[in-house]
Amino acid sequence: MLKVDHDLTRVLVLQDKVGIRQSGHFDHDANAMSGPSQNTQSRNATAIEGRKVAVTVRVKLDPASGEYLSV
Amino acid sequence: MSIQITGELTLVVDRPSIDGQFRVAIRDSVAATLPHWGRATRTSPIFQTSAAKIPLLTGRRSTRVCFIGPISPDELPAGFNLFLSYGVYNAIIFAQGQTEFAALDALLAKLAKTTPWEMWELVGDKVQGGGYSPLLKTASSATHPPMRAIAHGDHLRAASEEYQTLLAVTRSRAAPYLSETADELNVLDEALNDKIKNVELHQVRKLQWLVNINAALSRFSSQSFAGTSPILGTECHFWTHSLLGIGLATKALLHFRRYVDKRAALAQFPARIAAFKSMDPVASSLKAQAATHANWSSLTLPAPKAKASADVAQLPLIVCFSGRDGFKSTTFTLSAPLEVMQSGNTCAWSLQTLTHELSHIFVESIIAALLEDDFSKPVWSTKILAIYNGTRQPANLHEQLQEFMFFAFARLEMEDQGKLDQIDLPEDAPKQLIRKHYHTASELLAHIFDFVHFFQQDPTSYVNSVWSSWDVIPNIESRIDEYIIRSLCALHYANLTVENGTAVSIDMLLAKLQGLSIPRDQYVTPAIKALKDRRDHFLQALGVRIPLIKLARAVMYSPEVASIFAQTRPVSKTAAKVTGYRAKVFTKNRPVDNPIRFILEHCLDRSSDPAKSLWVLTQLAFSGGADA
Repeated sequence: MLKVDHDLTRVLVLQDKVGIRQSGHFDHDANAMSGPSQNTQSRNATAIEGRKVAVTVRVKLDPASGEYLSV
Repeated sequence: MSIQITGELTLVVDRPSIDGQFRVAIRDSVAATLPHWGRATRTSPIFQTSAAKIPLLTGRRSTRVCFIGPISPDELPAGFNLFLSYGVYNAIIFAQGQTEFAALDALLAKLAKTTPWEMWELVGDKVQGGGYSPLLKTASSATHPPMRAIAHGDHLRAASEEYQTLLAVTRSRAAPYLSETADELNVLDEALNDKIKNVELHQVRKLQWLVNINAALSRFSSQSFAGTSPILGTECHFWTHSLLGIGLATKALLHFRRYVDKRAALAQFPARIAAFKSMDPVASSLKAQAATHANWSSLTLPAPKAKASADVAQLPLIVCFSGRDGFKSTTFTLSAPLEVMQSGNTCAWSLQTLTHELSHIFVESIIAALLEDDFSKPVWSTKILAIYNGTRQPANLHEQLQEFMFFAFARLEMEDQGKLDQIDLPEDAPKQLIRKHYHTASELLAHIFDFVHFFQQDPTSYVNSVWSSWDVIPNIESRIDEYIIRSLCALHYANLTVENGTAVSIDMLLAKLQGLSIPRDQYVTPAIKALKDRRDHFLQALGVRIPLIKLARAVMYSPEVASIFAQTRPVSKTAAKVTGYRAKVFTKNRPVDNPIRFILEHCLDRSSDPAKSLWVLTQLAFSGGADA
């Protein structure tokens, strides 16, 4: 599926940093069949850390498109 | 000539005493066998064809039972007492009397150089002797490289030895039956060996690859090659298939995966995303522009290069069936549930769900190409924030898309924190947001990828497929909102530039769910109620995810690939005149040229039909000719 050169390496490195998908379509976490999936959930629940504000993301409704766009 | 499947029976082999002879029986069902089950009992379902009679195995009557395969049923001449199975030996012929023996001998002589077989000679119901195809007697053993020290350190040693042994077992057993897998295993082995040498990655990560690969390879090997010669010495641990295994079904999975592989090679997603680096950024910031803006409508993947990287091999996923994993993909493996054998004809268990699993692999490679390797370094977060704050201009379109991706992930964080208008974030927020929201985002993007490429943006078949397949998953009541949002994101791809698009997408999902006819559904009715009762909640949730959907439209849509997956081509002038396939009927010169379209059209039933499932799997196993 992935080319075995850089494409595969890059995906494996990404997985090293963000973790792999724990569950497939038949979701073990939901099915209570295995424990490790819990880690995925706790990772998602992690709060963003850091006191010093470096950026403020603001959005505003664009009436023409109905989208919330960055301002 | 056509061959039609007309009924299901169970072939049983038993040896009542440990030093006795094996006995053969044909029973109505596996249930009829259970009361007599002994230590050596093995069974498999077999399917009667229109020309077949159930042979009487009584008294001193001589019978020959011949197991042949893998062979497409339409390649067998008419007139045989033919049964079909899920095994690599997928054709079983019973012959009684001199005329039938002679016809069988003539057939086996014809197959001598092409197709393996094993024959049992029975007297009454006892196996008294038999023989094997010359292919099995003369086939040279597979050659194996010496054990490599690919694993340094104790953590990987056991898994590595298991992996290399499994590889040798699989190569050896596959050689006479699925010889094409040997080359694929070589590609996998070389790639894995190369990646294991990567010193930047922790050993435990590599252990995870090996464990996944070993589990899949073990299943592939045992499911495929149990029931191959000598049949009586190779037992399958999928117990209802313990006699002949399910090699035909794994061959179908292999062909499905190869079909997608070949076309994926044309897509070149990572290379096309890298090409954004040589393109100038658009004049003003993408995050402040609606989907209808000209900058978005003109932002598409650069065209693929002709023959780019043609010499670089693709990693072949190891395929297998798993009752525990069900439909699941990893970077190295692809699995489907055991239920496919009984119920592959239904929407709930159709192999169509594999396209979602394969979409995950596409999406992961696309995100990896967009982020590149350095996203976890502080300098990357600093750069993205500088672009976001306007203190630095993006050097190219690739950087501008990275900045937009940060905005898309920040919107998810705003929802998480309940700060929908404004949020303050720290200096390494880009890295933190990716780590936190990657899995949520990639799931949504996989749905979008599946919808636009494999479902051709057809909301009816997409909603039918995903909600039917979710309906057989236990305990997901608490996740219905999540599943609604995934569906909405996919459908909204087609409504991004439509006036009141989010409302249109919600109405569309509601209408499609109301149009489903899943008997005693678990989740569809609650989903309809949720969409009606909490419409504003879903409007807001979809609105938060619009940047992700816009990103998908810019970097994940390949019209060339979608068009290839939509195509079916006439196999021959004769075939072009034939309209459609008849369920459970094998007709000569009607190979399936597009497995995805075939499954979409033929696996729409609500009730299990093992005979139709076998027909689907057999068609897929012998589909595609050179493409496979």
